[in-house]
Amino acid sequence: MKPYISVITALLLFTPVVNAEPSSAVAFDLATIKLLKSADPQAGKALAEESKCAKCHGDAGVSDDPDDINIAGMSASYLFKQLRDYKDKKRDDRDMYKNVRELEDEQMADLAAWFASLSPAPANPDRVLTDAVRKLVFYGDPERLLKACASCHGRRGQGGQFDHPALAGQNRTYLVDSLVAFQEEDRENDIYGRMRDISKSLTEDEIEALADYYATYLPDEDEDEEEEE
Amino acid sequence: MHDPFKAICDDDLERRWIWISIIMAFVMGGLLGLYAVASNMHPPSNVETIDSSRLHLTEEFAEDNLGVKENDDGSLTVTMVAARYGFYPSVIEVPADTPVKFRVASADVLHGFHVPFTNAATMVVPGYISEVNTSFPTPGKYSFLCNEYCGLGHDSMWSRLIVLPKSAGGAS
Repeated sequence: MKPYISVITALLLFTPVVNAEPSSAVAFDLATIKLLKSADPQAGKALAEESKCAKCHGDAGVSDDPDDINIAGMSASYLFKQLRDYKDKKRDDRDMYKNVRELEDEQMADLAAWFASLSPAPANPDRVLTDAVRKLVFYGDPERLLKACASCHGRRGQGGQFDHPALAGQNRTYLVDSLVAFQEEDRENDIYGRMRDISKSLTEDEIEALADYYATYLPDEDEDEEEEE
Repeated sequence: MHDPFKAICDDDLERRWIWISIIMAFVMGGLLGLYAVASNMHPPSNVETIDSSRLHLTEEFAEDNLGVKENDDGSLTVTMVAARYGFYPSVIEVPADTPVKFRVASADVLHGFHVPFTNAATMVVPGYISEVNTSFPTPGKYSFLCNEYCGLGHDSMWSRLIVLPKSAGGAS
């Protein structure tokens, strides 16, 4: 019996090493940077029309559905990485996988360049920076190993380098869903688990408050109708 | 005795002060040298190169391979990545009084690797693997800090080191 136990133990011990897979196959090395620099936004525009990106992401990259992400004005490097991650199944989404599985790297770079060139959705002009949110956004919390959001995503939430997306002007539901997905490890394409670590330290209320702060304000359709009446 | 400074300076008092300042510089340099030898201090001398932009795709610094590993001789090797703005994995636990070798690489820019109140400190230069050999005699909660300015979030760049009492067990 004992040899079996040691064999099983050995197998269990080695499992994590065997499964050692990077959270993303994208590296921002010279080849990727050159690819992004040589991308053609007009070719991306044509491809976006052909692939019907507007169906979910809106005609100008700003979505009507709060579950979907606003991609207009995000950095080309971030958008390219997400497209590759969908294709490599590093980010799990059946619809996006179907849309990108046959795309070449150049085509994904073109798409990223096109959506990066569009104007982002405006941030909510009435947003309120409460003390609790200010602490999270600009200072973080050392005791919980929580970094300031602004350190990677910019002081105005405009996004940072490479794989740090813009947050300002994003759909509120999408922001909450993303943080919860990182928290529950349903989304794992953040290299070295940076967002997984952070989201696990956040409480539900803090996630809601941050989403309120960064979210765009899209007028409710009912509200519009009321105004028209 | 011929004073070599006579050629550049006529004033006796000034020449005396030139000599005093030169002697002070040598005395202080000597003291630093003696202190380094007596305390067995060594500059980190490991030279190993790595492509920092593809760090997460390498075997050693792959996300799932980071952390504490126990070596055959009972010592520990801790593999870590310094990236804007944190050290990963973000919590490291090691037992006290156990030789620990840190192998740290940067995924982006120049970082510092420093555990205050211990002698664990080195620069983490992109393109190189930094090594620090040390052990922690006092159990407790410590922080890894970045002490090389690395960007706007530099002041947020910290993570946790927990040194457990030796009786609490080995690597975790």
